[in-house]
Amino acid sequence: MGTDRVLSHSNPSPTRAQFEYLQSQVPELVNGAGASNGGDVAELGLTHAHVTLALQFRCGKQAILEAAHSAVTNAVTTVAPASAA
Amino acid sequence: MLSCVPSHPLPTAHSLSTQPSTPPAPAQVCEPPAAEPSRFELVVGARALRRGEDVTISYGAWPSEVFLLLFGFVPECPADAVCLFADLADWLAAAAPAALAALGGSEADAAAAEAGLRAHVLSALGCEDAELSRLVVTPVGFDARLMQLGAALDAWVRARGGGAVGMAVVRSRIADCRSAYGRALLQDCRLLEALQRGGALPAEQVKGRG
Repeated sequence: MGTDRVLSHSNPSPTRAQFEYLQSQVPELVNGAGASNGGDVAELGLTHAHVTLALQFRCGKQAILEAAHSAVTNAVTTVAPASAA
Repeated sequence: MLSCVPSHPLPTAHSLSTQPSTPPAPAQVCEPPAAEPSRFELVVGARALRRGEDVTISYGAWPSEVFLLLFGFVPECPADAVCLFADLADWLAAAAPAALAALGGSEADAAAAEAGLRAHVLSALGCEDAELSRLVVTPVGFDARLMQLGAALDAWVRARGGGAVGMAVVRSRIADCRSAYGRALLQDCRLLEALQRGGALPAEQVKGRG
């Protein structure tokens, strides 16, 4: 099972430092609060494409967690203790 | 104390015997070399390529960290994963308090409970610590080792008169992970669509989960 990709497609890969920063700061960068982190953004050379990719990455992880949450919720019967009956 | 009992099996992604433990994906990815002009030779087999036809490459099955870090894109990939527990110690730190609570124990018993539980699960699963790192959930199911650990935990607690807590440990960690994002998936998807369109972001889309 692989991931097919058109060869000519290319995007800027973030560096590890950019990646770590984006993982924690994407919401703030997107909603404008990132202005206070403007120095970091400039220093790290982040672009609109980086933020978009990071948000895409984040959405993928969240989708996994949402599905996991549903699966666990549907699979588990919560049983009240006898003392609570 | 509430106890949680699985009412039907959860899908599992891979098993202990087939999935060797690996460090977190970013740790496997070296810093890519600086960009420089490169070239490669494309050898076409018996089926010729037509002018303008897309040429594709198979990157293999990796979590999206690898694609983002090395290749600059994020595919919809069934091999993507969220790490729920980094290693056995991480799992024990969540499981032992849950077991103690189910048994009505006190925090003073925590260290002994954790040590006993650790010995029990390693014996039950017949493996070493190192084989229980990076316990994940993927788009197609849970890491089978998580289910095995949960079953071992439940057996340990039941043998001491308590109820099942294995699934509750997983559920609690999932809840923690979801909370850490601070913003609902739907909101992030809308933000992503807005960014991809290059348009302005409506104020209501940039508020936190609340």
